[in-house]
Amino acid sequence: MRQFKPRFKENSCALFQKRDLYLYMILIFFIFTAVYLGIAFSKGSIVEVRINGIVQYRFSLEEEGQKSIESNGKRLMDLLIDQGDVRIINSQCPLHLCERGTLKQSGVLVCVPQKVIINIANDEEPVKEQDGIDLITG
Amino acid sequence: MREMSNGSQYQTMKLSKNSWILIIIFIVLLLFISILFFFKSEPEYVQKVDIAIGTTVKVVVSSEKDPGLIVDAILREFHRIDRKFSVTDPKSVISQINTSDNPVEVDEETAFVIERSLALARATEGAFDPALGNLITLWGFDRINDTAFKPTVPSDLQIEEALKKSGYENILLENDVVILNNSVKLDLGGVVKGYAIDRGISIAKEMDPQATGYIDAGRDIGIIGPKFGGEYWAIAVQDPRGDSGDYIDLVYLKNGTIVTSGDYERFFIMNGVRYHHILNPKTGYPVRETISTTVISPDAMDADAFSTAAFVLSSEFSAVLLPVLGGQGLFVDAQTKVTYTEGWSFFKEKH
Repeated sequence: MRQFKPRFKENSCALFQKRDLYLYMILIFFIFTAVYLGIAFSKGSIVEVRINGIVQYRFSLEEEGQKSIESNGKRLMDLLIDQGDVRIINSQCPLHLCERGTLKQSGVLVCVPQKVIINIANDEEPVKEQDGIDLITG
Repeated sequence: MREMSNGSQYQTMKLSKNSWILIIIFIVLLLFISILFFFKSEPEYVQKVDIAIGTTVKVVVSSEKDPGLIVDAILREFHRIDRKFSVTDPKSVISQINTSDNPVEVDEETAFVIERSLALARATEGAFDPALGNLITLWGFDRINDTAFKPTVPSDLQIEEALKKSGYENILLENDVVILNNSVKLDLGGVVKGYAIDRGISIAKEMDPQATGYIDAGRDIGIIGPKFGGEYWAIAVQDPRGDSGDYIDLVYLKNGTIVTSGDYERFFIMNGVRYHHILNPKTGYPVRETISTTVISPDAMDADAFSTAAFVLSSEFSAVLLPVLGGQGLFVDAQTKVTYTEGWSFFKEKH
């Protein structure tokens, strides 16, 4: 049976020489590793739920659907993860102010009465100007 | 490629020309990325979000020292002030003063906060009043964050009775001794958040005079230092009747504080009527003529009191009074008409 053997030109200016194969393999390995690490440590992939200052829940943004948030056996609220957006629904707080906002790749949702803070883990870029605005008062 | 030979067939330079070019490009790219990563001209910011003084507190700090340590110190200070000046915590100094039948000797810090509150009350002719505890309790705005809070609208008679037991003129402070006359109750909720912001900025500056960043306590903002050490922070003023993030104006600050009072912050709706937490000290009812006031001032404690006072007073009166007291303001009345103090426009430009 005839074995396939790639042909490598002996001309030193050729793109693909036999000796270069190892070099290209190493470079490709480096690039794939860098891309993999970039994805693995990408910011904004995990939603953290802190109750009374302690992280009680962690969800991936990929895990779409409704999550129940409880503390000491009592349901506090539901978290809705939908296409990378996170919202609080069915909150047990009196005024439901926490249900107004939407958490996207960064930011924070807070329910003051129930002392719940929801944010994106490793959100390390707090100073991000959006449409020329850093902050909002009011 | 040159072939080297020293008697044996020692071949090390056998890569093609293209491969060498590729290696050089790879190394240059790696160096470029490393330089970008390690020698960024912009300082990195550390942020933490917590809940204190009945609101969300976000602290963002950059420092050549330890920004995380500064952020933690500021948040600890917020919690300390929260415990100390809470009206609902029975162990707080305010509860001790309010429940005592006798004059109460207070520490230096408490005396300062009360004294400054009384000065602000006098300066605003009582539009900001730190002695509305009975009225606030009657409406329930001190318990609005309790999960068991059930809103009710008090009767005219109840409001009349509470008004009789209100008024900053009934607070006496002499040689760090507080006397409450006429059964008034102290409630420093109108300035405590601002005081905590001022303390937070002081702490950051003590730990690193070059620190930059900001403190955002329920969207009342104190600037620790310019953005990235030299730029302005662009701060939008929330549209009181828009969605979260809609804004009506934009100002630029490198230092100082900006505080907003709105009828949309703490409120409940009963029979289709919105009852919010900013009460008119003369009538005992929520103010109806204004829906939002924003004040820029060097100190957050002053800005806190001024924004409440401007909310209670008419916008025409506030536009004249505020600059005299050292602030600039933007006011939105019930018809959503926006007016400004003359000096407000200074902050709309980067100078």
